[in-house]
Amino acid sequence: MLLPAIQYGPWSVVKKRMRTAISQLKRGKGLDEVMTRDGMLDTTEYPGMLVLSGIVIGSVPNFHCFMPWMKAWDVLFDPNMPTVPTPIEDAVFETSLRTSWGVLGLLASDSNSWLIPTTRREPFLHAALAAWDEMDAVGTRYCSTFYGERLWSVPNNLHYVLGNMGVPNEILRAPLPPEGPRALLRYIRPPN
Amino acid sequence: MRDVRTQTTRSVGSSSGVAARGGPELVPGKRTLTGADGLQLGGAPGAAPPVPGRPPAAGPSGQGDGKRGPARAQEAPESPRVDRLIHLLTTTPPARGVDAWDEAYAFLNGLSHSLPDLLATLSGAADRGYLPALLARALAANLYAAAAVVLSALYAVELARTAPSSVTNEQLNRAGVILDLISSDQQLQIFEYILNQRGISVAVTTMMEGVVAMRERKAAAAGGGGGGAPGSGTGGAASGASATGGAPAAGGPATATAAGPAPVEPLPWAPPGDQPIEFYIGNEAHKGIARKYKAAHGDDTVRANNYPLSSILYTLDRLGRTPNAGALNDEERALMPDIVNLTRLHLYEIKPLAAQRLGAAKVKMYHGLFARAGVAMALGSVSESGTSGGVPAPGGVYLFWSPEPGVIVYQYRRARLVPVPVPEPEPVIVRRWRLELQPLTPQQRAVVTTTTVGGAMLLVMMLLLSPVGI
Repeated sequence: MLLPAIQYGPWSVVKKRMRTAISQLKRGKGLDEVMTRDGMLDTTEYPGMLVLSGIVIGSVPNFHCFMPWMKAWDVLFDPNMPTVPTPIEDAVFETSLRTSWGVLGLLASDSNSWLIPTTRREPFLHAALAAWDEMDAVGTRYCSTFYGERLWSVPNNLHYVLGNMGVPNEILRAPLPPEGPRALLRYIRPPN
Repeated sequence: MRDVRTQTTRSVGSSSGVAARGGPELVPGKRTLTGADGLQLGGAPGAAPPVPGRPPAAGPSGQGDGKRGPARAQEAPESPRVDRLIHLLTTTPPARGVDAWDEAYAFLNGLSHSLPDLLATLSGAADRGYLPALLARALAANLYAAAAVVLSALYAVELARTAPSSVTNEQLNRAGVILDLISSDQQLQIFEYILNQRGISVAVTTMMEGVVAMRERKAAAAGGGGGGAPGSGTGGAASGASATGGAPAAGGPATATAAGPAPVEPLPWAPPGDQPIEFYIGNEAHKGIARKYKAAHGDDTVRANNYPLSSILYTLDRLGRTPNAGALNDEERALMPDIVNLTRLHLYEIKPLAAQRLGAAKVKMYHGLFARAGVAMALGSVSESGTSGGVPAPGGVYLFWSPEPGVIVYQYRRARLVPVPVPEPEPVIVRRWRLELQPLTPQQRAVVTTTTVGGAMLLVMMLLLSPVGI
C-alpha cells in the first residue's frame, strides 16, 4: 500500500511536519497537495508500524496514519458553528474518501471526530469497504498499542460506523468472517 | 501517547503521607505551593527578595537552563527553609572528595524525614533560580544517609520544571533509577507532587506511574498477593475486584463461551530506542487499557490519553451538547483525562494499584471541571465492559479492574494469563471461563532475559528480572 511520505518517521519529526500541513489545510490548500508533496512510500519497502491511535514516541520510524486528521479537526472546528462543519472541513473529508491513504486516515480511531456527523457515515462506509482489501493486505502492522495486528483487530472507525448503524458490539469484537467486513452489512438496521 | 499534558496545581500537600490523609486533593488553578507547615512558597523570580551571598553560577533568575515552562513559578518564596538552603548554597563550598562535608546537602538530608517539606524547600529554591546550583553539587547527596530520598526529590523538582518538549530520556532514566531505591510510600508522595505540577511533561507522569507499577509488581511477587497464583487455590470465582480491593482473582469477569477465550501472552520486551523502562511500562499500560475499553465500546465516541479537554469540549459541541468551554481557563482546557466516553458521559482515570487514591482524586478533579463547563459527566461504573481484564504487556501482562467509580487500576505482572474453566455442577450447557495467572514459559523467560540493555537501564532491568513469585 502506498502512504504519503509525510506520515512516515519518528513521531517528533512527523508531528512537526504535520503542524505545517495543518496550517496549510486551514488556509485552504487541498489535502492531496499537502499530503503528497514529499511523494508516496510503499509500506512493503519501509519498516515500522501503521499507527491508528495512541502516539508512538521514540526514534523508530512509523507511519502515523491518523495524522493530520486527529489534530486538524480541532483546528478546522469553528466554535461559533459547532454542529455545522466548515467548508474546509467538508472538503478535507471528501478528498480523504478518494484515496486509500485518506480512507485509512479516517479509519484511525483517533480521527473519530470526523465521523460524528451522521451524513458522513454512509459515504465513509462505502469508501472503507472499497479500500478494505488493499488496507488489510498490509498484514499485522496496524497498531494502537505497541504491537502489530490485523486492521480489523485494532479499534477503528469502521467499528464505530457499523456499530452506529446497528451492527451488534459482540459482532464487531469477533474475528472478521472470511468475506470481510461486507459480511457484516446484513446486520445493519434501517434508520428510524 | 499523550503528548503534552498540563497540570494546574502546585500544592505539595501536607506533611503526612498520601495514605494517611484519606487521599490527596488536586485543585486546578491553584497557584500557591503550600508546605507541611502551611508556608506559602514560590513566586516570580524577579519578585524574590534579595538573596544573601553570591548568586549561583547559572544566576538566580529563571533556571539557567532555558527549559522552564512558561507558566511556572509565579509565587514568592517565603519559607525560612528555602532561605536557609539558598544561604548554604551561596556561602558554603561544595563537597570535595568522599570524606568532605556539604552544608547544603547536610541540611537537605535533615529534611528527608518529611518528603513534602523537602520537596517544598527544593521547589522554593528552584523557583528562585537555584536548581542549577543544586544539581551541580548533587553528588554530595551521596555523603548522607538519605541520599536516595534527597536525590529523588531533587530530580522530581527538576523534571517538574523542565519544559514538556525538553524532557530527555537521560533525565527520566536518572530519576527512574533513583526513585526505585526509595519506599513505596515515598514514591507515592513524589508521584503526588508530580501530578500537582502545572505544565509538566506527560512523559514525567507516565514514568512515575511506571516506577510505582514496577515496585508494585515486586511487592506482589514477594507477597504472592493479588492476581491469584496458579495452583494457589486463591483464584475463586472471577467476578470483578475482591472485597479487599485487590486484583480480581482471575484478572476479570468470567466469560461464557463454548471454546475458552484466548490466553493473554506476554509481548516482547522491546522498548523503542532508548525509552526508559519505567516510561515504557506506564505508557503501555495506558495504551493497552484504553484500547480494551475502546474495543468494548466500538460504537461510542471515546477519547483516551491524548485528547485535551479543549478538544473533548469541541467534540461534545459537535455531538449536539452545549458545553461552556469559556468556564475553564487555558491550563484547564489543556488537561488530558485518561478515558472519557462522550456517548455515555463516563470518566475514568488509569493508575497503578498503589496510586488508586491519586487516581480517585484526579478523576474527581476532572468531574468538577466538566461540571463547571456544564457537562454532567459521571464517574464510570465499576462494572462497565472494558474496565477489567488482562492485556498483554512487555514481558508480562497488565491486570486491570475498576475498584471504585471512575478509577481503573492496573498491576504489572511477569506472567501469562490462561483461560481455565469455572467449576460448575454438571451438566454444563455453556462453559464459563476465567483467566488465571501462570508463570512465563521457559521460552518466554529466555526471550526476556536475553534482551540486552545498556547504561543506566541495566540496574532497572536487573531488578525487573528478579524471580517472580506470583
